[in-house]
Amino acid sequence: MNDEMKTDPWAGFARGWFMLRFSDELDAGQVVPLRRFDQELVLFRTASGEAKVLDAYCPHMGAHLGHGGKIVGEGIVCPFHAWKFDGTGKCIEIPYAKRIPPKAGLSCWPVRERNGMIFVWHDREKSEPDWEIPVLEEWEDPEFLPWRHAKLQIKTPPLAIAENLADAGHFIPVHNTHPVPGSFSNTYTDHIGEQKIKAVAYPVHGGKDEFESKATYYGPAYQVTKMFGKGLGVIINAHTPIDAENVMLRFAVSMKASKGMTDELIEHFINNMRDGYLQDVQIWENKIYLDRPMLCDGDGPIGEFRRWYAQFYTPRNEAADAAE
Amino acid sequence: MSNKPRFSIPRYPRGWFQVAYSDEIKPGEVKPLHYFGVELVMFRSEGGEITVLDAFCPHMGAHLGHGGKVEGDGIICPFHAWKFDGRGKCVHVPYAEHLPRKANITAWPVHEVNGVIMVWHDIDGKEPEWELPQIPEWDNEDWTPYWRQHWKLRAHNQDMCENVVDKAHFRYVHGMNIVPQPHTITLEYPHIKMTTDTIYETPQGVVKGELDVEVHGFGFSVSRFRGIVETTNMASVTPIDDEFCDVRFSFTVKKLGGADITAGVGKAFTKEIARQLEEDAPIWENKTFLEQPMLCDGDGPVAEFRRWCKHFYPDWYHKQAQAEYDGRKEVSKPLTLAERRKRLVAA
Repeated sequence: MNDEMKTDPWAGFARGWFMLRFSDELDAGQVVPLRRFDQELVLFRTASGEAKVLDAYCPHMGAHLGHGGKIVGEGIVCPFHAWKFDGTGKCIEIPYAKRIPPKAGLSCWPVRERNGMIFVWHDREKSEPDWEIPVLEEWEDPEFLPWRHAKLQIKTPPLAIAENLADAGHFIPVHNTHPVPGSFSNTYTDHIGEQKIKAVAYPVHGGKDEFESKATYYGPAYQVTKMFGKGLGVIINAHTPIDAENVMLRFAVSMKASKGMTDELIEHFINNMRDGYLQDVQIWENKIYLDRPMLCDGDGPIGEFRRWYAQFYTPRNEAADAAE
Repeated sequence: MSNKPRFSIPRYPRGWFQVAYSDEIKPGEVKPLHYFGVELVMFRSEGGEITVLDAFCPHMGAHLGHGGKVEGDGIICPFHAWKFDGRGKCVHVPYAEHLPRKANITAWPVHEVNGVIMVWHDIDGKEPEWELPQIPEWDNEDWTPYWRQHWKLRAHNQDMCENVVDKAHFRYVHGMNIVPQPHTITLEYPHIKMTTDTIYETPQGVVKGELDVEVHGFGFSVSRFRGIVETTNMASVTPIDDEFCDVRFSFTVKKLGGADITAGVGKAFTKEIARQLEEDAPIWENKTFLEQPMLCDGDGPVAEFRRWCKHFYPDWYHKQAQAEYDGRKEVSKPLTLAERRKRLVAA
């Protein structure tokens, strides 16, 4: 088999939980059209506050529920002929028909709302989720500030973003952060990939910060980074494919506002975290993907990372072998 | 971005399509056009005849619509002054002794009628299969001049035409209290004829009456409303490219007592019809095409309409559109007899 015949191992979209929005970006009764995983979807919040995701096109005559669909109670009403679907995608009302066609329904996507974020489960094999997004204890802490979040559409393969987890060599050139020799480590357990590092940072807005950080990917596309320095900061990095070439990046920063911290100091930390993250974004936005990167000693265990990451792409029954 | 086409049906049906209003081009004028995903040139000869040709000169590729000049009944290319007549035949090259025999441009069948310029499109390049009717209301002193409206929509001709048979959408998209019940509806290629009772809510109050719709293929239809007033709307839909189409409404009212009253009624009706189109637009612009819609009792004759639609595209075009939509390799057009013979000889 020559190179051209080899299939792209990263074709299609990974299996796992993907963030669609922060919770405060979706009000009760709001309907949003979305293109994700190269498919048209509709995201909405019912009157009682449940977030739902369905395939976008009405099975009746093909209208897009995300453009003009309306929330009535716990369901969504199609703008074309007013067919009503519940949160599971089942057609529950056709105002002008005596009989509802028994197969009238839309595919429903598993959704979780956790830590102030809305996630959807994507799986090409259409199986149910086999793990959950863990509760972030800091989010439940009253001293923890609300997320300051932003989004950005970028043209890069998801792997290029996730690979940062194993990239020991980028801290100095990208972040002006100097790792303590020997402190960088990666560990992988099932769907969880973790990076630990101790370092001295010279952040964008000045100062010097000695810190330890723990950056954890839960699945292929949702990462929580905890920075333990003068205070505790958290960075959320979530990327969801739009189509084969583009991803929507959503990120957030927050921290625990402990007693004695001035607003100025908080602002300073937040800005440093955000702009440190944006240093990575700038690289992702402009880089190309190399199937065979030219690695050197000191680069970090990229190969180990890719083997772990492959489990989200291979069919389930082959995932265990791929992760070996 | 994915290159997958939006629809599994072919984009450019067979039929007559409006490319301009008659008064948009004077004798001796040349206009570039872009419709059906191709570049065209339209010109009016000194004698008043309209010609529509493929735009590019076969000599060195200049666009005749940008700088071309009318001379007699022909057009002169701005690049090297080759002259083409109304059938696209090269009739003069000022600096050459011999005309290249194959120096011709494809001419599109044109029909100028009812104050509009229509061209015939057929993906197989065949001659027109039907004629367009003369509208008695046009150029008739009992009727007002046309009110015109134009939209550019990201929509497909077939989806828009489907509305005619789609009874249920009137209530839910247009908020009509009563779903019109067609008295008669006949679908016979290339026509649809439909008569229905209807109610229009205008600022002047509710107007009851009868609506007559005549569809002439996917490019042209005439709707006549008869009640306390009589109005006629000619609607045309012309595909521009893979995404967009031009929609033109031309609206006339039978003159009433005074010019003011007529103008008032005309304005109210134009507004109502435009409102309806703008309610349909977001549906058309975002919907997908379902090969097998899940119909219920209470829907109109959608299945019959879909069978009628098939006549507007040759079979190979259907298969190609479906293949492109499925992401399969493009199915090639079946060979003509002449092409097959040529291959046999070559073998």
